[in-house]
Amino acid sequence: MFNFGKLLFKNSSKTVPATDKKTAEQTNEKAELCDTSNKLALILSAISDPVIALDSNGKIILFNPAAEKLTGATFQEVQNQSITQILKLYQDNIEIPLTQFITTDKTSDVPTFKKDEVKFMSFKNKQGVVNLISNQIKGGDKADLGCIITLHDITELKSFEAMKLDFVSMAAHELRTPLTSIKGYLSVFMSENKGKFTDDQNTFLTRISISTEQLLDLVENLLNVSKIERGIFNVSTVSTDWVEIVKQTFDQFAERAKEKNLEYTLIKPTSPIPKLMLDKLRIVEVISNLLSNAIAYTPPGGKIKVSIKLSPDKDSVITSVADTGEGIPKEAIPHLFTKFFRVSGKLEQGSKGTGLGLYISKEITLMHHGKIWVDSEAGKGSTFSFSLPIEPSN
Amino acid sequence: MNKKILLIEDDYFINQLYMKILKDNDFEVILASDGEEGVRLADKSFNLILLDIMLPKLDGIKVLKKLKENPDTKNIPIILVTNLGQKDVVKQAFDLGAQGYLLKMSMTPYQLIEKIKPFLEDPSFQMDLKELDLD
Repeated sequence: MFNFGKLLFKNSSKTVPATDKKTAEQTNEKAELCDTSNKLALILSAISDPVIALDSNGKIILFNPAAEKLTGATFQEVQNQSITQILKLYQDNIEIPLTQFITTDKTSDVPTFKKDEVKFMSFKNKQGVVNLISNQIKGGDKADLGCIITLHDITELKSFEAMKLDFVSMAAHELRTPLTSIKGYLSVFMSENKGKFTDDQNTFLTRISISTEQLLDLVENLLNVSKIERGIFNVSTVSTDWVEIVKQTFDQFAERAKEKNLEYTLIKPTSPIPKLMLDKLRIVEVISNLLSNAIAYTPPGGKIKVSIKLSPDKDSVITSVADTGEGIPKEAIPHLFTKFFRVSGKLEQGSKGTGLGLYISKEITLMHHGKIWVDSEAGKGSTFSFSLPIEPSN
Repeated sequence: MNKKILLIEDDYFINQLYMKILKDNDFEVILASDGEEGVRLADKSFNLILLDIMLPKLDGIKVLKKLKENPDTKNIPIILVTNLGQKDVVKQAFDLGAQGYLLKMSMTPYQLIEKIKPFLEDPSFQMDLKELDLD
């Protein structure tokens, strides 16, 4: 194990005879310092994160047990070796140069170098992912000290994250299979027996069908969040008739709104709306999410109004869904578009969903260079709006 | 003469549902409920093969490979009918010669009938991978 005392006293290890009082005091001081340094050595070895100190040439002068464990190398093997020979650190697949940690430019104040999710490979072929912080040792050049690097091993965490994402994909597949049967048999059953049901039976079947669709939406939302987290959720846009899309989506939710006896209206735009550059599959999710929420959170007999209009600057199209639901408390609004957030309190009763819809809607709107926001007052209802930019070519 | 379809699907509820709806629409349907059976039953008499990916004994990708290697079956259009949406898997299947991809969950059985029509009218019909919404 590394002896911190040796490092601190490598130029003063000769024994000085205590021939006079002054020398005796010096010896005592030294003994105290040695004691302190041993304590420091023990403290360093107890740190669970790898700590590596380099001299001004980038050679290893300190390598704590956690660093030995991470790299699979002992301090004896790496002492006075250049860090670049022992441990390769990669940022976006490019090796981080030594100059990131140590500079010979004495005039500049070397900032702390901090980087998360750095891949590493030791000369013993051990590899993984770490969060890295390196600090140049201030005034250390006089004592030939370069920098101190602290690593935090996140290899396991990263592999767990990857596993979790695979799990989400697999779970989605497993959930989709029985849902496919429910949806499939239901549609065939309803179609083949059209006109044979009583009003009650019709209502029940419609409710089963709506609930199935909600469950399917939920599975898709989980998958979408998994896609966003993996950075593979992209949009590919084409010139699209937005008003028509809103109309179609609005119609798809008419049955759900009718079930809750809601006054459900689509207000036609007062001025012509130009075609927009949109990813149809994705953008439908935004308006669907807002409609689904509005229907879920508005008590029976309430009103939902959907409108499309040009922004005051006429550079974007604003689509709004207004409801007469419970409204959203002021303190909840800043968190509304974050992952897994659900308004607590009154709204919990009878509310549905995972708290993913608005987060996904925000991500999709941002990918279209638009914005999403809400105007709401508790007890008076909410209006969710999002803007989609009009391309200059339009 | 009725068009002949090979359905390779292991989930009993789903294969019974698809068999019914395909027969109702005047198709002749032969069912294989695992990958090996699918390879065994496939011959040149089929006009279309509907292939699931997650299958017992032999997975859909391996089945696809074997069917495309067999001179008797290599020209029959194959549509993946699955609930697995992973892009790399679907892309691999298209590279191997699959011509279509349908997500079971997002269509009713009636929509299945509509979606397979173009492949029966033109056996070289090819869906565009770029237009699919994959995981």
